[in-house]
Amino acid sequence: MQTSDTCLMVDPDINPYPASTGWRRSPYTLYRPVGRSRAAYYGPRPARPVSNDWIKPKCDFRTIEKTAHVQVTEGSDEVEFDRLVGEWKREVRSKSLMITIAMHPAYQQMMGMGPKVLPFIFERIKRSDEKAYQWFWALAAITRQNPIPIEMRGKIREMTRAWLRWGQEHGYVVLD
Amino acid sequence: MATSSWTDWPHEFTLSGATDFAQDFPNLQPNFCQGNISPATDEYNCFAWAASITSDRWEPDPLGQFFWPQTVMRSYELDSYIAAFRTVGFEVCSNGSLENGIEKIAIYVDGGQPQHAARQLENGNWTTKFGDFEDIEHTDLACLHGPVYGSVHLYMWRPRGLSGSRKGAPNIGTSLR
Repeated sequence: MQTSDTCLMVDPDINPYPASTGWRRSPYTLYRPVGRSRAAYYGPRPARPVSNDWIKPKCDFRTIEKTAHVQVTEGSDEVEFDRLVGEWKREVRSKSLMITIAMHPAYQQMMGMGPKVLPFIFERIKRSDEKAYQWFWALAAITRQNPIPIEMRGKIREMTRAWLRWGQEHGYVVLD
Repeated sequence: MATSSWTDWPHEFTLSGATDFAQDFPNLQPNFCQGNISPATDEYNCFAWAASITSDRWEPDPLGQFFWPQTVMRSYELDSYIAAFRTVGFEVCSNGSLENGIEKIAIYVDGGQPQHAARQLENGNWTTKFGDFEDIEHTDLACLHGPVYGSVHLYMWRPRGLSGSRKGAPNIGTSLR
């Protein structure tokens, strides 16, 4: 979505701008291009009973729903994250190698969710450093960073602190 | 250290309570196990434990998170594991029989890749670290054969008394074997 596009925050369940009117849905907003007429993009506007009513929201959700919507979205991501984590943790209990864990389909799917899972991962590590090493592969893969110096490799508690420091420096976690 | 064989899984061996334990280790029975059980920890894994190292996890992960000797290629192939154990004094040998003054390890392979390693104790038993669970003493190697660890594929040895070192190979004589 271009930054110059017209962009409105709307309630996801009460959509006053159906796609037939030229608005498109992004994860958090509805938008349509500006600077050119709607008709140039989408053809003639369908007839509506009230002229110009389609460009005005029924109510202004821009301020009142943004936080709620983001929370709903993050909540569903976290539910999915928890589900995937539960799945691979159940099935890799006695495995010795991190590659076995990392190649588990649920671990792969968790990594595939991308940077949005980083706060959840750091929160888990912060809450309990037990088996924190199981997150290092995902952290390195998602962030494409490695804050672990050579002499620290394999030393789990030191690595945990190093990753938490990195997470704090990059705004993913707040340490006490 | 107690030396009597177990007749039942002690509660300290928490892995035995896992729902898929019998499926993962179909040949492992309590009477194959002896001695004390160390507390569960994730600070080292079976490969580090085989080299008598309890401060690091050994794994040649491609993302460079875990310890692997710097002079050895980070690969999950058997050759890479052999080279890694050579840095702490081990050499390939032909069997796992008990020999005076010799410490041996057994490497389990499944699907062509090492999955586990066990270390021989002075009494002839073997010690194994189970993932992030406890390490236990077992009387033979075949009791761990199964879908998780595969089977023993290779033995290595070094003079007993050499502790593991991540700084490089200890200075051992070449005429010992």
